[in-house]
Amino acid sequence: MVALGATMQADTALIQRAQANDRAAFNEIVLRYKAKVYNYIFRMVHNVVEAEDLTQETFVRAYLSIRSFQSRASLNTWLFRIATNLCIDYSRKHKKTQGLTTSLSQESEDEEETQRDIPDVAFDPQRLLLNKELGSRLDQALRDLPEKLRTVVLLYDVEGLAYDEIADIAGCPLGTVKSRLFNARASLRDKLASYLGA
Amino acid sequence: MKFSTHDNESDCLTVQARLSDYIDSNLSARQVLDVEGHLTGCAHCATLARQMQSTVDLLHSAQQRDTSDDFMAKFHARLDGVEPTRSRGVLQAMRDWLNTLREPMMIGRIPALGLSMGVVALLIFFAAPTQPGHPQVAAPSQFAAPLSYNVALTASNPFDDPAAANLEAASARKDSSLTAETE
Repeated sequence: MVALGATMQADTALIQRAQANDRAAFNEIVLRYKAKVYNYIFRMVHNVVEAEDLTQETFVRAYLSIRSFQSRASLNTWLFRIATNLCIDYSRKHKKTQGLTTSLSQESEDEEETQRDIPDVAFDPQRLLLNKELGSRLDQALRDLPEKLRTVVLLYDVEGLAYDEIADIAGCPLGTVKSRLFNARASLRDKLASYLGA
Repeated sequence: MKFSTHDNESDCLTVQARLSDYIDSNLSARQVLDVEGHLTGCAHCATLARQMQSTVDLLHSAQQRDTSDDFMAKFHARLDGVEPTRSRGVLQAMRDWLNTLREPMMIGRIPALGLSMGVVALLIFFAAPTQPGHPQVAAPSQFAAPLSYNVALTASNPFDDPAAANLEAASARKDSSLTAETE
């Protein structure tokens, strides 16, 4: 909690400098958050090039509107809101070609994974975390989730945002966030059941 | 509500609906007791609970990727493209320029920068007034020429504009009175 407060204080100082046109301060913000934003966007769009492009666009938009940023929301939440909106726009624009993109990227992954397509019955989370196969299965299961469920589960379980922050980003009530989180986890559990063991 | 410990479909559904909150510790103490009591006696729900916990653990430890090495360079280029839409002060522009000098890749460009700074210094030297304490004042002839040109234009009055005709008459009267005064 103390570390979180310190981070927010540091963010506030950086934001104030960035709002005064200090580009070095904004660079610091980008360096601080680019990996988090990129990971989130990558799991939303499942395309390395597009994810990097959308991550850059997120920060460009943040830069252009940093003056209107108000500290009632955290910088983290604000950036994820911009990123989420960009992902939604991307999804709408690329709905027609999405099937093709998915099948192509899946094809390259499947080439690597065909040698080790055997479920591991003895579940040991620490060991399995290192298992590349399970990681790719998780990515695939996330990819198959509806966008609304994926957004919530990524923001909560991967990025560690709070319910109210996610409700703010997704523009839905707190109860909806909770039910989406439950549905997303249940769906992921069902898809990964053979790898998770009994 | 107290759940029975034997397999009851409605109890199972209720517990399963609470598993996510149970994992996140978002249930009341009473609800936790109810869920745990049910899980003790229901192997199916206990398996689902373990699997959901494993799923959450997996998500918490999901592999973190980083951006490409040239992400920042591309980002700066992109930002420069949109920069004109946002007004920047001269001081900020100079600060940014100085910041770019700190980057290692700029070291190789120092000779070119030195040359360009020399050219700028020369331009400033030659463009500066010869007597800094006394600003140059334009000679009267520089103002006289456009004035006479304007008078000539209005005097010609090619379109028989009444306003121009009045102006011409007033100018003639003024000229004649000036001539009379000097005489």
